[in-house]
Amino acid sequence: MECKINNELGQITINEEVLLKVAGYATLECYGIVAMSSKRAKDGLVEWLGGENLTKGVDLRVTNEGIDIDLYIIVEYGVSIVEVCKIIRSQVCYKIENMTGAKVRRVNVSVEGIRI
Amino acid sequence: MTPKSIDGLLLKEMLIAGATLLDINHEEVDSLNVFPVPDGDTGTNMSLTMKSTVKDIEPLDEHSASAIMKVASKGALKGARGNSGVILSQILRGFSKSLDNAETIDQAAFVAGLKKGSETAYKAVMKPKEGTILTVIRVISEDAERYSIRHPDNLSGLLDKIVKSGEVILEKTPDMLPALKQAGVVDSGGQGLLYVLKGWRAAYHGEKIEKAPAEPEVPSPEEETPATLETLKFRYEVSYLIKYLGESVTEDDVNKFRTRLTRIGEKVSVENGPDSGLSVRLCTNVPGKCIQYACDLGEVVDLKFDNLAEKIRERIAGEQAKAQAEEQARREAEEAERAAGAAAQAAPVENAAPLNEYGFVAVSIGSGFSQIFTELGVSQIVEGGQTMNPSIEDILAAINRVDARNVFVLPNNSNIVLAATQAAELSEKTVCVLPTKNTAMGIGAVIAFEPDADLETNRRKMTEASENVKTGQITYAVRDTVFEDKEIHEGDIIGIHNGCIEVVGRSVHDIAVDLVRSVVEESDSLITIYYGQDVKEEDATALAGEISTIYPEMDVEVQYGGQPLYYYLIATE
Repeated sequence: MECKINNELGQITINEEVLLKVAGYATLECYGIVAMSSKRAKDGLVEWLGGENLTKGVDLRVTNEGIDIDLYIIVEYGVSIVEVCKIIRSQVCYKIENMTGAKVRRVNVSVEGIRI
Repeated sequence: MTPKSIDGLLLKEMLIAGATLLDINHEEVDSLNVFPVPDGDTGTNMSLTMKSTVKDIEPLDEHSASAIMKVASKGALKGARGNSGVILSQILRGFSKSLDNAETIDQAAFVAGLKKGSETAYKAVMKPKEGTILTVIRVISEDAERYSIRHPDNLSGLLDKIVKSGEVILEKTPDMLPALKQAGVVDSGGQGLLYVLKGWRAAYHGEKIEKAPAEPEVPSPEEETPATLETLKFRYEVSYLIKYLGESVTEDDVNKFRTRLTRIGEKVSVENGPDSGLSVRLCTNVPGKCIQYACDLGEVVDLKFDNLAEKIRERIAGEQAKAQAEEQARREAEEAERAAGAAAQAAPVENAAPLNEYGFVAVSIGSGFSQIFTELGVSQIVEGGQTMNPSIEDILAAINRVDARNVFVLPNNSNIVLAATQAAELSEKTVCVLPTKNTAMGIGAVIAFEPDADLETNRRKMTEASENVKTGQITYAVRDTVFEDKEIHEGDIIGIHNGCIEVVGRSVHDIAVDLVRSVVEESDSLITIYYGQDVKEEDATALAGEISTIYPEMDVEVQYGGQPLYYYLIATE
């Protein structure tokens, strides 16, 4: 589903893939994250992803009130997980809102694994 | 007296000194954040992280360095705040891991600790950004390693080298991160780390870092037991700079100079000052001598001289006046509380119930705003705002203090909404957090409250009311920068609307008028101007007068907000 933004000059359409990549990249830039985890982690198979695959640990839905983003992350052992999640939320929200102009309603962070 | 290795007691001193030095300078670090509004909090976050370490190690009387470091790294992890705080905690954790069970830290162990700290910090991020605190710690540890190969037996030199290499690399950070260069600053996290390391070096040399005087909320032990005229050992406080050091002056001479000073006084601090000079401070009874010593090294400038005994006399007089004022304030507060209690009783709530139906908690900064909230029936005010976010615990405690079954929480800042929501989950009461992003929205919400309506209706009505309030804020730029192609100079007045800088200029008054034009919409009927602590009432009234001539059909109100940093908060609805 793409995100549409109207202004006085016309309509801007942003593909979901773009939003996924922005969110994924913003997450990976945050301190404390060592990998993204696949959304299919509940199948019992935790895939460790990085590089070009970065849209995989990200899920998002475009609603009328803004975008909801789900992030599935793997953190480094020994960092303050609560603090890292807080940073991710504000970073991802900031990047999406500043780069695309779309409004973010929610950022849900799910810590799926820890690297020891 | 420079020890060859660091034991637990010295390490503790070093960590405390690092935290103190960072605390003293946290506002400067804050001001380096890449956005030209004085809201940044890297320095505050790092300082709070270090304070959490200090809190844990302070009661320890431990001779093993590794034990101290272990506790310190746990404290940092627990208290980590913000990105830089988390990274700082990782550096300490790495350092602690490399020490293993060592009793003391010698030069090799120190270098290994720095290296491990840097590695650990890097390991926790996939895409390390260069030009940040990470670069600073990495370069420092590499330089330390190289230095130790050439000078294997010089821990004192190593600490000097660390600080120096940190300063050098910090200067280069703007070349690595374009955002820093554009804003004309060095990296704030790196600067914070450098203050910590400077504190370590100072403590290693046996210097004391004095806590900044203007911090009433965390009194240092010395302030808790203030010196009296009887206990005052040294009467004069002297500080000066030594410039144009003689060419033959070596580090040894400086050390000798420091020792001579410690013989004639206390609280001696000799640090590198501007233009490769020295900055000196001490308390003594023989001020003449300490200046004479300095003249042997170079030329004395910027001499400052204070009589501490006289200050104590003034303070005693001041305290007496303050005690009287507090007594009066307490009496007034009691009366206000009684009045508020009576008002709550008058609300159509079952009088027999021990609890009221509804209560409010508001986060607010500035005496004026706190008073407005109290008048509107908010029973608990949590001090906080942009630069000082209250913790979840603070908010939870306030919720629990409210004498009501259902509590509405007004975070009044988008950064605090999250903490408030978490506090709401922890509380046993029914708590409803209204997402108010600033104080004006909070006031709008409280006004819409109806004591007769049910919780859900109130929540909806109050949220709607708060969203109808549009606000503009006026503050000043703390340094030169470029934001969205607008060139902004330090000291410029900027008007912010919806998080964007709308107008820039030199006059608070003109900017306020311009900002109102961009905030006001046709459907609005009321403009409220909350003026801050730095604005005179006449100026605010004059502004209101001008605005009402521009918008004759609207009501213009002036209220005292008392907020710091922001000259005006303008709300329209």
